[in-house]
Amino acid sequence: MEFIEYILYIGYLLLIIGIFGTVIGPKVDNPFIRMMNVEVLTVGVSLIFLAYDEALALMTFISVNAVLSLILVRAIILNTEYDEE
Amino acid sequence: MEVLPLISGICCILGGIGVILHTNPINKIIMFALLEVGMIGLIVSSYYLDIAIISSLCEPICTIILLLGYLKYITTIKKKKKYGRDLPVLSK
Amino acid sequence: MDIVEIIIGVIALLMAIRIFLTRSRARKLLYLCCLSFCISALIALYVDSPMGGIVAITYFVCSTLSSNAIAYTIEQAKDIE
Repeated sequence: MEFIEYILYIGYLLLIIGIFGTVIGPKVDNPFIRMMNVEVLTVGVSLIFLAYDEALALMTFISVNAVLSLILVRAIILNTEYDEE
Repeated sequence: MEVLPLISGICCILGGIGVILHTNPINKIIMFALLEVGMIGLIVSSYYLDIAIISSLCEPICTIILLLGYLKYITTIKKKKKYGRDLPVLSK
Repeated sequence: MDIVEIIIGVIALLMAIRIFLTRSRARKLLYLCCLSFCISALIALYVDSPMGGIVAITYFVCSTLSSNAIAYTIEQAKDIE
């Protein structure tokens, strides 16, 4: 197996694990746990970017991902706070 | 195969399975740090060194945001459970 | 393949398996810190240029910062719960 195929297969495996974990994972009705499961998918996508030599796309994706987690955490907290039971 | 890609691949797969299977959020964050370790190792082993610097600078920022968000989340749930339905409704 | 890389690789593999299997939360954090030290040494041995040293220094500082942040939060979360 060549080195590029090794990275590509690890990326595909993380994508499959992340998809099934986000949809039917354990205790997924808590929104914070579901948001943590999505982080597996981003690592899989960035490994596939690495395998196809997209250097600039990889750098932009990693940098934007930190800001994206900030927005999602803020949205979850506000949704929990204003939710009427 | 060299040592660094092998260790990084094992870290990636174990971290990916561990993030899904653990249910406590702090355990999930520790496993997510393991996943990031594997990703940085794979980036370095294909000689993209500048992207490795950017990635290792952005990784603690993401971890700290998740930890502060978790603390705020459990504080909000505790406050809501304590004061939730006992407040008198004045308009009716 | 050097003898030094093999020794550090065996330690890193052992730590990666023990993080996955241990149930105690503080002990899991300790193994994560040891694993990041091992990866930092492997980066410095893998790249034979001064840029590799810079990457290893940056990764070492940032991973230590991340581990300390998790260790501070464990105590805070124990107080709240």
